[in-house]
Amino acid sequence: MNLIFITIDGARVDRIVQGKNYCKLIEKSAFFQTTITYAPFTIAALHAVFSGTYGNHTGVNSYWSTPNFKKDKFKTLTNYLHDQDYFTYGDCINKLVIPRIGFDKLVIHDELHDDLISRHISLIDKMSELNKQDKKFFLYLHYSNIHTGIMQEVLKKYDNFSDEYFKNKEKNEKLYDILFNRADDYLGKIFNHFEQSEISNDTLLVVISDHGISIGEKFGERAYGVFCYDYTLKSTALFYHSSIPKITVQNQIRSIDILPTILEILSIPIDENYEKFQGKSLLPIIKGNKETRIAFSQSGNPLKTGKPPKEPNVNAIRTDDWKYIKNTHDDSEELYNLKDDPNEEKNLISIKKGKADEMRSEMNRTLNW
Amino acid sequence: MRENKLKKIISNKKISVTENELDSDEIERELKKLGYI
Repeated sequence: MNLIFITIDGARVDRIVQGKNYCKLIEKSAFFQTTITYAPFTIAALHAVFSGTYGNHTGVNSYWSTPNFKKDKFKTLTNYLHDQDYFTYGDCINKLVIPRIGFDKLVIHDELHDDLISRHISLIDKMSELNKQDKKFFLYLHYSNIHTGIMQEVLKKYDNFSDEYFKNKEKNEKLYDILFNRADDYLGKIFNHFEQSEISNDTLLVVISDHGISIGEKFGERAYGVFCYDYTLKSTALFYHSSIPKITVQNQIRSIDILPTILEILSIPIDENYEKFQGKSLLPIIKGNKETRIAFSQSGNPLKTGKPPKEPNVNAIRTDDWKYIKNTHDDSEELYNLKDDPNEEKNLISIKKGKADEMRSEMNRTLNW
Repeated sequence: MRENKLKKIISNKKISVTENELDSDEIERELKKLGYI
């Protein structure tokens, strides 16, 4: 079976579940509505997805650490497929965001000028031609235009402490919705083309978002990659093929679970010569099992420097009901009851001491894994 | 023959990423392009 893997960079879950084209696809797929990203920024988020392992182990835990990826220890999605004689092709926003290893060809598009709909439809057609010659393929497609709009209208105009930005939440929402609707349109056109193509019967389609984006919820974060609150940590994952049960799962899973799931669907065995994944296949959940999974995330708060730090300085542990955050830059702690307080406004760290101890221990276990 | 056909299908004039190691100046340039610094 072939694989087409699409990242909708920066798509928020609250918009995804209302997106016209997203909803059509969700109805036909196994959809994980609460996929907790390892990092609320693309570089570390996607390295974790591609390796099935958190960035504090793979070496990619910051904006700066792409070259630190331990490629001899962690086998990537691309490498797995390349070793199975897939032709591996990626079309990406930037050379930093996914591991280069294993790609026969990795191309960087011009996010400011390229038409990603026609470009990606053309790539699907090229892969279809290749498939006619009995060559399996892996096609990675990165939809970057939510990022493009945020870069032009937010990152370049405001800093993380601009009053003008945080006082205009309605304007921020309008901008985000315009960008999201274009992404939804992209997905609709790509999916329609895919469904009508000859490869759809023998191709697994995976669509993820890598992180959410602020619309001004918390002062100090104008976009993402600063804090570890849910509006950026919540992402999504969707698996589409006629053989996959249609199910929408509300309980949280982790972005590191995506790779083991793809390998199990494609019947590709785990390579014992590499470190074990921290993620686990989602197939048992797709088949109806109820499971609780604990998610770990890291971010890098630039504070007043204007540059992201070289190492993470915010850690978070999340269950379906609770989140514990440790800000290592000032040694502060936060604890939120996500069921009662989904916007994470009431810090219970000094009230729920037993729960704080439990979550702190869980974080230490993950950090020392 | 088949290899040539494959090359034709996948040919692309856009920037192609090589296996070269990234140095810190290049990372800084790429992060600027993305609007992060």
